[in-house]
Amino acid sequence: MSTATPTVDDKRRSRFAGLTDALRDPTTIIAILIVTLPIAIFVLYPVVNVVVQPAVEHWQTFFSRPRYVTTLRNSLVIAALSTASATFVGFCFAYALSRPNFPGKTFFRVTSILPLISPPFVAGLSLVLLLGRRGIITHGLLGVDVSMYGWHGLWLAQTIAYYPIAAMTLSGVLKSLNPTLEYAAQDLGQTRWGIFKTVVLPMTIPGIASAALLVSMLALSDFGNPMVIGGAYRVMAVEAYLQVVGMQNMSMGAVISVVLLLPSLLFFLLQRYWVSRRQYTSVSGKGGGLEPIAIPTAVKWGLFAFLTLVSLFVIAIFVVIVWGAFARTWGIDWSLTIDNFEFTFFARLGHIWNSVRFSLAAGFGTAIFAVIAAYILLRKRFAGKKTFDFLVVLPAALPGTLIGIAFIFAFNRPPLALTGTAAIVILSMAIRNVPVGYRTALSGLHQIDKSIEESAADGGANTFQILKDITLPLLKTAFTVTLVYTFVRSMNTVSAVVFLVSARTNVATTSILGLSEHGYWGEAAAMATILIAITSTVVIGFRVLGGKKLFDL
Amino acid sequence: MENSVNTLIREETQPTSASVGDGKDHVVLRNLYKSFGDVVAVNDLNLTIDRGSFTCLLGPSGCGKTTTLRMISGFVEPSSGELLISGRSQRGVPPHRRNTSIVFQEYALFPHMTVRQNVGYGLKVHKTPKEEMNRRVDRILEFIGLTAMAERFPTSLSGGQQQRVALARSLVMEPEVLLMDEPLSNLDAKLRVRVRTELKDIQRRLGITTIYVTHDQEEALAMSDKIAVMNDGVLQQYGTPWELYFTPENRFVADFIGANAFVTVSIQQLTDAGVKLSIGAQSIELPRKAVAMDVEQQGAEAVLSLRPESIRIQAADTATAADELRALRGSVRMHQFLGAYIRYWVDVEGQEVIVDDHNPRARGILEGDVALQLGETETQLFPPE
Repeated sequence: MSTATPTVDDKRRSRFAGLTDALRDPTTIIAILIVTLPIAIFVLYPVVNVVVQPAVEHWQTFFSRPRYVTTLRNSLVIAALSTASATFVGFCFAYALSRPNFPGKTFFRVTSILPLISPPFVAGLSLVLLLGRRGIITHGLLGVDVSMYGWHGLWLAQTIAYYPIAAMTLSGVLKSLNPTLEYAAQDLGQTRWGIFKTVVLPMTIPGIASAALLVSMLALSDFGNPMVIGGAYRVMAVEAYLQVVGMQNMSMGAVISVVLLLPSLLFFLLQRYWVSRRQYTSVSGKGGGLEPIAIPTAVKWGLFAFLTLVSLFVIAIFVVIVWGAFARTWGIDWSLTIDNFEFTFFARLGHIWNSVRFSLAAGFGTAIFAVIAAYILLRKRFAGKKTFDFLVVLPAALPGTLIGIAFIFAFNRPPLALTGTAAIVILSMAIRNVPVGYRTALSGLHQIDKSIEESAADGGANTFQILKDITLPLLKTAFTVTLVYTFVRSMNTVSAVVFLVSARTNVATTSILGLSEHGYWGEAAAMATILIAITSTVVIGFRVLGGKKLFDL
Repeated sequence: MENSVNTLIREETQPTSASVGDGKDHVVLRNLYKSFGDVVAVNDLNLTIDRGSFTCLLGPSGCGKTTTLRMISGFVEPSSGELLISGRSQRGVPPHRRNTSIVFQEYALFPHMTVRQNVGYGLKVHKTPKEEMNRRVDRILEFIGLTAMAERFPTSLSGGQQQRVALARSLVMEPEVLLMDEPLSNLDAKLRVRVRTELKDIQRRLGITTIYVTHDQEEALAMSDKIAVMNDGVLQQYGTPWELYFTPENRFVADFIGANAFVTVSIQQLTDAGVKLSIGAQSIELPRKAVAMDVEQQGAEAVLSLRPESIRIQAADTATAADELRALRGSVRMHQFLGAYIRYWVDVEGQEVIVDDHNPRARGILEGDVALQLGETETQLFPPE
């Protein structure tokens, strides 16, 4: 009995052994430092620094003034609404795509992730052109005067912007459900509705929770959509921007960003330590060639109609952006022109170029860093692996607003005076994508067992050959996926960089926001069109050139 | 149903084997045909399964056995042909209206429900009163010896225990026909032997008509009253394990069941009493009953199927003239000592014959030239490929 369970002494000894191993192999220590130092300098330090910035009176101000309390309530309400609706739409997509008899799967597979290729706030921008005061449907077709500005427009925009995240998460969960369970329930006399209610849904609940947590983190920290379409309905991310950039009130900016951090961190911890333990996917097998049970005809066509509506709406969003780019004056003069592109070309080309080169730099930096971190975690023996892992994925919990404001506080003075430089923009882009890149690299490395490397060593290969012939080719996929993913996300990011760009380092997204803020819809649409063209070319090109699927659907 | 599981649990001491082979057809397949696209999965299958019997559908993967089972359960609709259960056609009857219950290869236990909830699931679906439900679940859990595990979740059970829960979940519904799709293939070898003994015991005590799909010939031989051997969607032979083993009707069955060696021979002489064959330069005589084919022509090619355990092996120089009639000469190419027996691979005129010596201590390990004495009945003659 005593040999089966390790005693406290054993544990202590093994931990000690890990330490001595590390001491014997200095490359391990250096490698760990290469990963942990940047995390410490660019994640831990700025975050801790910003959390301790505000004094007690700043906190009192925040919680006593109705302006701030309302903003906080607005943020929580809209995040809750958008999370519910985006998760619902995402579930509908994922469920329909998981059924064998659903028509038009190829089409819906594309529209289920289509909004991901553009910055989230393009949905808001397009809604204004589509349903706003001068909107093509409201003003042009129906002749009614409605305003999309406010919570309802924001809700719609965020639902569109974030349902793909839910669809991607849930699609993985639903695909891994063993269809045999459904047949077993049917065999025992259950109806198809009953199977859905007692088998499919309960087993998907952890996945739904996971998707909802992800969406709520994004919706809560969304900056672009509230900026474009929120109007008087002000949320925290916008308030922080107004305080910092508009009123130079840095302390209040810090308070708000910390308030934003708390729920985000909570959702992150919930997802990591609670929801992920409740996934049922590991117990299921392949199902012996049985397809999931078909959905009843009425449900099928109901779902089909709903998803068609959503898809057409999403397509309309992109069509309207392109149309808006070519229209002379939206809502008044519909004649086509290339003036908007001419403006972009002469006045804002530098911003697009900045976006491209910063995103590329961030992409390479993230990919290299993530691959090294994953390699170290899986292949090196050292104490504190769990802490290491936690640190590397921690940026996923940080709202963009917090990163932006924290970077201002941390890097506006020596030894690291980075304010106004390209480096600070690139760094903010890079660290936000490290968690995804790291997880991709981890799953890539998991594919080959350590024994493969060992057998290569057994066959006479030296360390260099093993690295060259086995480990690197495998990491190449993880590397390129991370590179492309980070590039696309960085091209579209706005909430952190809006605090960090200077006149010299301005990027496309903030440029578009500035244009739409001042009612230059045509110019904003033209820039958004160019941005979407670049990112979609990269995504499609990556796919065509035989790359792995970027978004797993 | 009169012969419900509950009644039978109470009366399990009474022998139920009487119901086996009482001539009552329970499940009847008539010209059953199923194709997926242009792939024929099951081709013109005719099978009559007796009430209370244990029947195996046996064959390699892709032979159509699982599709057949799924047609009986109702998950797959036949392309043509008829399926009768207790004389009633099952055409258009959905799975949950059939009085069958299936146990899946991977158990398909609901991971979000306890053992008790899993077993009671079907009863709950059928809106069985709570009291009766609890009583029936308790009884079946006791029957399979998992009362102590009732509140546990499936993931905390061993493979064998999960298997029994899946079985209980089916049995509690008191189905007329129990269907099992390779239920033991996820268990390790030792456990498989134990669980199959338990399964067979439970089936025997309940006397429930059971149709069991497997690719494992040993499992089929050990458990079945009757075996239907299938290949490429076609029924090869339907009979008792004994018939299949000792009188396979074609080369496929002979090859699939047991470890046979096949030797190409030519027919020298055919009389009412026996047949004279030549293998290369050697010749032997076999009794007529060993001939399972319509071999009428002299000089025709044929394939002789030999069971390893039916051949007696001895050193060439100890063979007597009396042995010569049914003896082949060859030389040992290789041997393996397996404890209970020695397996030899013997070269006979350039062809390989497998021989098991089940009394290794009598002769020791033989090398070089040997004489092989063929058994009288365990040899079969088939047409060439």
